[in-house]
Amino acid sequence: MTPDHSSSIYFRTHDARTASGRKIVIWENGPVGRECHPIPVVIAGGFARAMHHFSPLATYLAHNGHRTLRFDFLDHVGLSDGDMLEFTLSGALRTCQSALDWARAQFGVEKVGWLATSLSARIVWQCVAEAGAAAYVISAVGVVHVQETLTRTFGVDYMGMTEDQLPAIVEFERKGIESARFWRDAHSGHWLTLADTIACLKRIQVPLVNFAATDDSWVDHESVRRAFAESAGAPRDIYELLGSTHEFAKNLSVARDFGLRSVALATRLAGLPEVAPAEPGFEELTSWALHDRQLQWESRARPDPVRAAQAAAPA
Amino acid sequence: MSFASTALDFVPFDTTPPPPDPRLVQREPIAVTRVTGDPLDGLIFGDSHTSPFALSLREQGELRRRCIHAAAAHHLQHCASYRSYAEHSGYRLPEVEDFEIEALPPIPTSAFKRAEILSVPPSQVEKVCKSSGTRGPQSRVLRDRRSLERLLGSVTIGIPLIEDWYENEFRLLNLGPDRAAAGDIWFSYVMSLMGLLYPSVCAVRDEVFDKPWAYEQLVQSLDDYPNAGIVGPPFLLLGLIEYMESQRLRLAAKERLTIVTAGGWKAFSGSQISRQELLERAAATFGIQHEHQLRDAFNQVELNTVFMECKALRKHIPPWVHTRALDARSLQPLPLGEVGLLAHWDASATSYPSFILTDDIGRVQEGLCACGREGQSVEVRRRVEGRIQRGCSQSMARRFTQPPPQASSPVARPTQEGQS
Repeated sequence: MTPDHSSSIYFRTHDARTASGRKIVIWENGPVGRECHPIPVVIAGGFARAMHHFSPLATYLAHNGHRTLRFDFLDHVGLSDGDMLEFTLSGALRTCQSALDWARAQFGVEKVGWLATSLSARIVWQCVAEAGAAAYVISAVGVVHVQETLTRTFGVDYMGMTEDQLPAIVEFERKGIESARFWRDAHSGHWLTLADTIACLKRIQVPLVNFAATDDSWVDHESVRRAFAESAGAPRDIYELLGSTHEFAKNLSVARDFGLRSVALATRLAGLPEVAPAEPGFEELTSWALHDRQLQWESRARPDPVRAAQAAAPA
Repeated sequence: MSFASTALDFVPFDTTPPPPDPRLVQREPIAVTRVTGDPLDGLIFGDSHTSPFALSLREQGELRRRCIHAAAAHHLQHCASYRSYAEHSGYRLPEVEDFEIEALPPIPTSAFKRAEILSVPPSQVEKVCKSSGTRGPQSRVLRDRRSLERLLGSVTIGIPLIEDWYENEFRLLNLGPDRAAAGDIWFSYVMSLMGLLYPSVCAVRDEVFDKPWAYEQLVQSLDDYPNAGIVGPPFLLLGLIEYMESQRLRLAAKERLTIVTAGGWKAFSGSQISRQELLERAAATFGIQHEHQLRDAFNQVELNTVFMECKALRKHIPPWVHTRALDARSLQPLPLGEVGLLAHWDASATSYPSFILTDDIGRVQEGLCACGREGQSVEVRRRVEGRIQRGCSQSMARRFTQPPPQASSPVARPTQEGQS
């Protein structure tokens, strides 16, 4: 299934399996008619966001020669296995590690470039700190103080409570998460504080770029500056999206600029010759966005053949 | 290692793609540059935490005046035909403090059938948008990327006037074709863009309005999602209702279904029915329970903003658009609430001046709406019918394609065809 007109990019879908057989769905885009740049770009979508939400970004990158891989986290919204009720930050980290391993094996590369937004940025930073194998990380509205961001988002400091004080389910955009599971993991995994993030960033020896929204009510702009300033050792750049909020990509003008700058960054940080990014047309962007949304929606309804076989096997 | 911070540059009405930032190559600390972003994009796309429809009347009025003044300056500078037209009308753009929106000459929509009206280089045109062409030649409106994005933004920012659904809790039945089949026909194209916002299915398949399939999809939507919607022209909605009535099919959607009509009764050769009758038949067929579950949305190819109807069934005008009813003979603005020929001044389009004198009769109200929002709202009643009214706009349209007068003597607005 491809858009209705000749496109400059291709699309492929893959099912990656974890060691335990859980399915991670990965979408691949790349340029038609020429070789991909050597370092694939892996996009880790935001919390409660699925692959199709990053269709424009993938289109920009692929249009400019980058092989782009998107995946849905396990135990999250989207097409990978599991339900968001069971989401944890460490579980998401394991998804990142699995996606990284798959990309390296599939394309025979040592390193990937990462692109992550919001809470996923914190997860990807942790993945890079632990696993390396990254050429760079580009993040947008990256969360540097998880506990503070969660408090601002929900209006309640659930992470500051004791476990027995927690409600059974906490909802985000009408999607429920089992709070006790999340809470235990967040504390035991050292995810929550600004100091935890700074310690993580200090271990990353590749360039980090973050696009920070100055009117972000969920992420404190000064905390972002401090986290990047204190994690010395490799290049750290911040782009300030003046007047933008956490959902900066809703502003299509800002999203467009972010797409072009991400392409330029991915090209430069991959060590490639720098050329002016080419911009996909509005029609191509909308065609792919509609295609991806339709595929995401239709794929939801299809049974997983591996799971079906397992269920059908005699006990 | 050093820490660098860079502010993004936003250039109002800069229609060229932003170049790569040369500062990217620098590894030394750089100065932080704070540049004001394009406020109009922030307003349209909802950058702030306040909806533009939640602003006070005074704030909206001031924004409206400034946005439209900036747009006027852009189009007068870059669109030769509009500049000529304004000069023909004896118009000079004053400073923003002295700017009166209604003095800015609106372009009769029939002019878009005669000429390509463009404020950007042709290479920046991303889509040629055509009217449905129900009366003779089609309007052709040339849109660049930014205009298209802002149109989509107006839809996104307007949807909360209807309801605030999350993507996973709503599925839409579009009674028109999908984006590929919609092609350049404007109304169908705009409806197809709704698929960017919500899971959607389209009932026109292979150029046929597939009513049985549409019914099945509607049933599936109500089965699989907490909420469902139908969007389309009222005559197609009537077609679906008539099909269900003929098959004795009924749904019990209750409060879970919202219907949005758009496009009016254009392109329909049968008899129109009143909104009240449509509501009654929709209630009987779909099982909806409240009048506000049937809404209407307004747009036309020459207008770059979609007006959505609130719960009080009023079409709210966002603060980057100014709408007025004009006297059909003198083309002078009428007091609020009086019925006349509608004109819109829309600041959101960058590739053409969306300052238009329409063929629609209606009225504009201003103040506190029953939905709780302050602002302007428009009621579109019918298309213009009078010979004199049509002739006036056609005369203006012809003048639009004429060269400007040699002398700079002021020329009064025409009051009737043939008179100056």
